[in-house]
Amino acid sequence: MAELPDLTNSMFFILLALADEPRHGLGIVDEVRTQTDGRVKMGPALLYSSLKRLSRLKFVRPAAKPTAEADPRRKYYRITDAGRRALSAHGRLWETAVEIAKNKQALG
Amino acid sequence: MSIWRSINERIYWSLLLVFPYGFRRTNRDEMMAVFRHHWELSRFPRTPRVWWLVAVDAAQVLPHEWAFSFAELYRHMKQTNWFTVPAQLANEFKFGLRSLVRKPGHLAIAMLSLALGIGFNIVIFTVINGLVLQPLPFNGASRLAYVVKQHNTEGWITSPDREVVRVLSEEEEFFEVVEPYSSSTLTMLGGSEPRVVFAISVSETFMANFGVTPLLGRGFIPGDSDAAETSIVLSEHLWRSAFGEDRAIIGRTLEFEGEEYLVLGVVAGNFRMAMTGTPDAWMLHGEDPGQTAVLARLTPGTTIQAASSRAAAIGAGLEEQEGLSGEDWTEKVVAPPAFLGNEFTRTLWVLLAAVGLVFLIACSNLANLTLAKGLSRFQELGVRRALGASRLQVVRLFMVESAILSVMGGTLGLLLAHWGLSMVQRIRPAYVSALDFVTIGPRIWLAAFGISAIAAILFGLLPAFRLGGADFNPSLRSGSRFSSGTSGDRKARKALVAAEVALALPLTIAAGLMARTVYESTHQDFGIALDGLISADVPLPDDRYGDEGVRGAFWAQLSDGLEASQLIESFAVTSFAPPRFSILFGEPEVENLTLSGAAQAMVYTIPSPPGYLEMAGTAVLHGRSFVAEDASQDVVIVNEAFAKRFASGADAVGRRLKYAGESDNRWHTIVGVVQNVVGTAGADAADRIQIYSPTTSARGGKVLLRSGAPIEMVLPVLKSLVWAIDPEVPIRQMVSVRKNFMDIFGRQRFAATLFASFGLVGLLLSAIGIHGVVALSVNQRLPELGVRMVFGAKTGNLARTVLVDGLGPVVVGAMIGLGASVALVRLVPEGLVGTPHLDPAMTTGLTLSLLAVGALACLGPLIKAIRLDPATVLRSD
Repeated sequence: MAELPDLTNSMFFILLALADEPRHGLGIVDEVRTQTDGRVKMGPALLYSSLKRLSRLKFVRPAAKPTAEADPRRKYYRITDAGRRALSAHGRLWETAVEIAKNKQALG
Repeated sequence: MSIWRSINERIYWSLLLVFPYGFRRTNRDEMMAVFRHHWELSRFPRTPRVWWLVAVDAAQVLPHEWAFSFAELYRHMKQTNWFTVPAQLANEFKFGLRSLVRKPGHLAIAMLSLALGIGFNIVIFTVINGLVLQPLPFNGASRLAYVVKQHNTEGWITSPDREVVRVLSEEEEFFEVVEPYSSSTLTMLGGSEPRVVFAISVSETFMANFGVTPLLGRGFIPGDSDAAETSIVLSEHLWRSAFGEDRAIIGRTLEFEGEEYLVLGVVAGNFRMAMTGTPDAWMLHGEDPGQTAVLARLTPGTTIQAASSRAAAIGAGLEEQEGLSGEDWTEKVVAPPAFLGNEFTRTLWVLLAAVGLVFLIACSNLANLTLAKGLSRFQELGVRRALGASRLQVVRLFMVESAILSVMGGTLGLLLAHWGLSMVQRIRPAYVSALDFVTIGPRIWLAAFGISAIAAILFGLLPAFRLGGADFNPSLRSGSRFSSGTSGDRKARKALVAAEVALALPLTIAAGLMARTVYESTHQDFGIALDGLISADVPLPDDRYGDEGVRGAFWAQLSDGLEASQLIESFAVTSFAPPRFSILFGEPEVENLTLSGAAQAMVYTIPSPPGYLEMAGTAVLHGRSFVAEDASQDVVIVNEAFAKRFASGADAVGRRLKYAGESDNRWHTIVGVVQNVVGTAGADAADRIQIYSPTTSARGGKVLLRSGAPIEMVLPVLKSLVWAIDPEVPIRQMVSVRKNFMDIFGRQRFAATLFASFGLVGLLLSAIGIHGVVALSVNQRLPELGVRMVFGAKTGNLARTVLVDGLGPVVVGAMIGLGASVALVRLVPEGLVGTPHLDPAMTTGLTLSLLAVGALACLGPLIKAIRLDPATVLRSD
């Protein structure tokens, strides 16, 4: 727990979206949106600002184009091992938090 | 709906500018994609939803990104090894200098553009600064003002009544100091020949009150007027010119008009008074200052308007109490520059605007040039960027070049300005003598280099920014020596040329209109035969010639001498030399005649000894001229304007008139009608009434001569004749009457000359710009032209291609310029341009000549295109 990195919500959701496969920016927005049923909408600036911070933390890095027909102008990102560790650490933290909240019936 | 989307997308695209450069640069395309994505997926109401999302999004990110951007910059600066910066700069300086010198043509044009643009601006600004903006050299100069009396309808300005001045000086709430002074011209003896000096008479407190500082000796102090000896203070320029900077002058006595004056001191500098010019000497006036100007210093916080309305109220009050001069006049307080004459001040501002246009032309030339230069260095910059030069380093390279250019251009501009100022001083209107004392000071030096630097850096950076971030890969890959810019750049350069032409054409047209006005004014029938007519001032000192008989004897003796002279064909002794006449306020009354229309407030009266009209060459239209017997009769001769106003033509002869006012109540019989003579008011007073009265030449003071010989030969003759009678009578201002008449139009001529030179320079700069664009475009199209030639294109076709390329923007610019001229000519003050509309013939002529200049500028590249050897061109690429 001591090395729990400082992730914002949007950074967390980006890592989550990248967890299964490399995506480009628009793909991340799309994935987050569908997975959360449209409840989390990520603005363009926040998306790229967060991606930049994640890159600096070495949690994501540019990825090769997954298929030949992929749009060559798009930049793809994939999650790194450090990113996965951070994601699971955060995920577990949230898990704990949700359990506590349920026990206290704070989720309504 | 898709139009609405693209509008929103465009708005978002421009709003991206709020993000720091680095962030924007790397992400903007993808951010647009995300924006579009949100736009497509948003539910109703879409537009507010999306923009709300975008606003919240930006608000979340902006602080962080900017903080990051500054942190980066800080880190970059901390990492910079500042010790190496001078060496780097020196390196860049060397490099910049080399790359400037490598293209001497470009360098010359850039420097010339900068220098001309700056030089002209300095000259005009210096003049405005010196004459209008800069305060008079007095203590508290910003609060200085003149108290005057102004005519309510005609705007004439004269001195306020003495009583008003006395009351005003007690208004301590408004006026700190009120000092009347008067000016006079005096004859000074003691030099090699008698000399006329312009002196102003002040109170003993004047110098202390206004901070006039003595260079030698001292100024006046309280008590001086009670001293046993009358004293005088000389101005620096009189001391230099008449006494050769002799320091022993202090304590010497000089003789002025028969009185001895003790020299107390010499006052520093070119001390100018707004109303009266630069005095040669300062004297004390007694209790009565005589015909005065009233200089005042307002108390801090008092506005000119407040002081003015106070003065008007006091004036009006006194008028009622004591029946002072009529209700037509109002006391006013005015700021010193107003005395330059509003017309001249306005002319100066118009000139500044015109010179601003020249500067704009120079700037667009510069932009054009640097753009072209940047393009031709595309490859070099590409290599630099590829080898790891940062965007900043590329920009810095351009900046250094710009800095070098601005220093060189600024220096050349200053040299040009010094020369230009002396030219302006040479062609100045005669009455703006203060212009001679205007100099280009250190502050203007600084301003010159400042403007130069701003212009050079601005236009040096333009291509730097365009190229600094450009994608160099295509040019590196293609390796073509013909690659030079995108079609956008070419369009920009053509637009710049069009702008130059559009700016130059109104200048040229305005110059043409003014030149025509000046030509027409100076070639009109003046009503006087000017050829060989010379006037000389021979003022008889009052102390010895106070008596009319003594004066008469002097003039009779001089007339005998003049008559005997071989050199002088005819002469007249009078008291006003044309175009200056005596002015009488109010229109004369004509017996048994009521007049229609507005009365003239001012008429000229012209003393006319027998023979004067014949000698001046003024034609008698009806009736007769004066004869010797008329001198003792109550007769007058009037001009055409009078005849038109009062009676038609010949009817005027035989009628009787009485002058306005109280001084002369007799009826005078009109014996003749003569043609109008142009007076100092020029065309503005073409219909002014002129009345000639017969006089004996007893008063005199002016000698009119007609001679086939030049002035330099006539002057010694007159001198010897006058000094044979009395060696202490001065002779001054011997000028050709033609020059005096030309001086009437001095302001118009001044403006026209300057406008013409601005127009010429504008044309020259535009021609350079056109040449540059055409040359580059021909260079770019060499391969294409070569191919065309191979396929059998005719020389004529090639020439047409090149000409259309070059003249296209010129034609567009000329059209815009014509439109602008139509609009602008209305803004030019009346009197600068005779008729405030465009003369079609001249406008067409000037436009055509501008197009011809444009065609001429295309000539070089055109020849190059025609002489093209297709084989060489195609082989080399």
